[in-house]
Amino acid sequence: MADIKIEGTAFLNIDEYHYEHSYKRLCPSLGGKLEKDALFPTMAHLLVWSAVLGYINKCPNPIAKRYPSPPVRWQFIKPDHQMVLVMLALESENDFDVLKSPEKIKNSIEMHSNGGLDLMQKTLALNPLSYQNIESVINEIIQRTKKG
Amino acid sequence: MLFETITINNFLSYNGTCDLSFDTGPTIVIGQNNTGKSKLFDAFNWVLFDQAYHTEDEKWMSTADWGIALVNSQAREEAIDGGVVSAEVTLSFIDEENNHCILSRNFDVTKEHGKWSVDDKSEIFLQIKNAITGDCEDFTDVNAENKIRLLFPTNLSRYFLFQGETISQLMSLSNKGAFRNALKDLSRIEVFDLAKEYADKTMKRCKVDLDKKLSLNLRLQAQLNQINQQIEDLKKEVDRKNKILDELIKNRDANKNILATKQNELSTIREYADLLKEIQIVEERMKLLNEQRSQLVNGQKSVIFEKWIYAGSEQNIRNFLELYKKNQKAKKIPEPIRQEFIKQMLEEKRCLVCLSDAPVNSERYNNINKLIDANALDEELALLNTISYRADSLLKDVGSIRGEISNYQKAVAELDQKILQQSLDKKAKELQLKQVQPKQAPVDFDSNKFAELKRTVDKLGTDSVRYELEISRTKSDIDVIKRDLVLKNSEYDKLAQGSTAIEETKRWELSQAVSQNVHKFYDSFFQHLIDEIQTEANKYYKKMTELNPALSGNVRVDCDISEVYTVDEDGNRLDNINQANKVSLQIAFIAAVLSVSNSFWEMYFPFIADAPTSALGGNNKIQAIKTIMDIFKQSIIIIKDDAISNDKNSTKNDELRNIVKTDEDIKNAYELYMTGEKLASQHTLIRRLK
Repeated sequence: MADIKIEGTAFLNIDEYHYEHSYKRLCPSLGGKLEKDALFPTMAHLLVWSAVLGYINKCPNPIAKRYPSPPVRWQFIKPDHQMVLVMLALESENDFDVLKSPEKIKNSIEMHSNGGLDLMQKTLALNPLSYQNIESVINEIIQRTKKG
Repeated sequence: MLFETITINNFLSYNGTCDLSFDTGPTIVIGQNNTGKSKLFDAFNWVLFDQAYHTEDEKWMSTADWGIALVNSQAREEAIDGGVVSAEVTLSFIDEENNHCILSRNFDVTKEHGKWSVDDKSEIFLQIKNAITGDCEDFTDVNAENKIRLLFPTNLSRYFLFQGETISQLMSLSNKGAFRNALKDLSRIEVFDLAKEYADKTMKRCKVDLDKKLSLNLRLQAQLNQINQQIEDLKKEVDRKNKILDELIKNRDANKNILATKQNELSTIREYADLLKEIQIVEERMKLLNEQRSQLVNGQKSVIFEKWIYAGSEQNIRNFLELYKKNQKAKKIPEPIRQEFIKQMLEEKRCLVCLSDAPVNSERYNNINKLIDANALDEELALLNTISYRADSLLKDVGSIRGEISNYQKAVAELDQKILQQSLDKKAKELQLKQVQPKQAPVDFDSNKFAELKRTVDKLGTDSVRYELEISRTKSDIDVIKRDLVLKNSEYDKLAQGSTAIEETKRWELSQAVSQNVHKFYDSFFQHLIDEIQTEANKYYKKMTELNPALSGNVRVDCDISEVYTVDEDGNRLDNINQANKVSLQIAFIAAVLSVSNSFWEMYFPFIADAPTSALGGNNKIQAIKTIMDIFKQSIIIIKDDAISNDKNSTKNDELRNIVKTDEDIKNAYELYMTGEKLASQHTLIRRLK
């Protein structure tokens, strides 16, 4: 499937705090686990996962302080995942006209990813050692989301 | 003997003067750890026997060995130059004739130019005030020591001065040479020894007379000489064998001592080794489970990442589709005239809707051209339709994805539960390990040491069996020789009777009969003594173990092998009895020895026990204390306080403290505690509870 092109969304922004606390710890390219063991082999994976978490829990959160160089390119996100993100953005905006302004879709994805990461950090804060066993944390979040 | 008071002055942890008074019946002294309980016990030992227990060296030491350390450190600290500090213990008691006795022992140290000058021995003073005449008799030095030895035999000291914390030493008391020594003092065997000696001497003299008379008949003489020689040889053989037997018993006892120590060491190490091994197994299991978990997680990573993206957002997808349908219904999503289609018509110069030609600049061509729109939503609408198509297909798959996620989570949860269980198991075992961890550090432990110790214990065990066999064989040899001796003696008697030495023969026979009877009387008295001890010990042992539902057996005092042990209903020895029963057996046996002493000689020893129940717990402990209180005419029980001093509830509910409060037999009770802010200035103080 061809990439979904959203103009002006070549890069997706992330919060500086989450760059330090989430991306750096969980993504192999930034010194997290080895790629083969990592649940999020690339930063794009983490962004997608956290955005979906944000959409499911309806918890967008505007980025407080943007990380200076946006590290995630829209093109690096798999087309399948791009499609899900756009679908969720449209559902969240409850308006298809938003398709005319891709910037809004991009903002929506950024904010929900940020909200999703906040949620993940709250769980991790309860037990800092969970960084070593992120699967359990994710599992816990999944369980909770399912119940909710 | 009845103790009235003890006054302790500057002795070990006691600073200044402290008094305790006693009556008939029990006196309870309680105290937390390190409050001077054992030092109080030492005060009794020191004043009577010039001995105090050195905890660090684990042995009894005399004043000469203790030196200046016997004198309270704070008292020394406060001493001025030229001053004398004296450690002193005074014991007042009433003896069996109701005479009032005061025994005092002191040890002086003098401070001279900042240095201490120390005597090499303690000084003793004993005053006995006659109950009838009121006259006082004073004894000092050796005279006082000798007098005290008569009143309190050294060999019995460990019986009425009972130390519960050193169980191994206690056990050796009951089954080794010390037991025989104690019996010797208890039975006053020396009286019998003297009788036996006289009887044997008389017999020997009669024999000499008879031999002299018979020597006149040369032929008879030759025969008798031969028999005499044989009798002498047999006697020598009996002596030799008896010496071998004594040596064997000594070696067996020594072997048993080492075996008991090694077995104790081994049991701690074995438990330690077993626990280490178990922890290793748990760790291996945990490793395996973690690997399984890791494999599962790695293998199913897509489940918790990609698939969840879809399954988790199922509701959002449904909402999207609803929105899509609503918009479609409201015609908000028109069927697009796609720009490619328009471009195709313009290229082909033909309307592909009405299938008519549309040449360039014709009205139809221009109409088609007007539809070209740079802002057309073609792409967006196509995207929207693609997404809706994808959403549709996702919803169809989501059911199976959900099942997959649920199965995965169940499998992970099961593994997590198992890992948690193992980790709890490991923690529990590590805690146990800390508790069994004896003096040896974990780093000291290795399997070689364990194997070597096991081999040593096995060898000692084999030696022990060998000694028993040899002892039994030697005893049977002695019996055979003694039978031969009887035969030879009777052969000699027959020859003598046939001779003319009628008077000498009669005298010889009479002396033989006297000697035999003295021996028999002694043996039967001794056996009676042992039987009495055994009966009494059984009575006390049963009383102490009656609350325990498990059967504990009967006490056997085996004089042949100098051992006290328990037997089953059929008289078979019970091995490996538990620690609580061992202690109960000890107390019962000691109580029996003292009780028999009371009834035989009318000598009542007070029973002073330091932590007598330290190896017992729960019901056994309280029951043992009650038994001690019941058994002895006077008992002074020094025991650890189980209640927490500053916790009102704890002191209120403590069983021992309740006994002290409610038992009318207890007339005196004390609590020991420590005072002083610095370690150097800490010393024992006594509070009267009752």
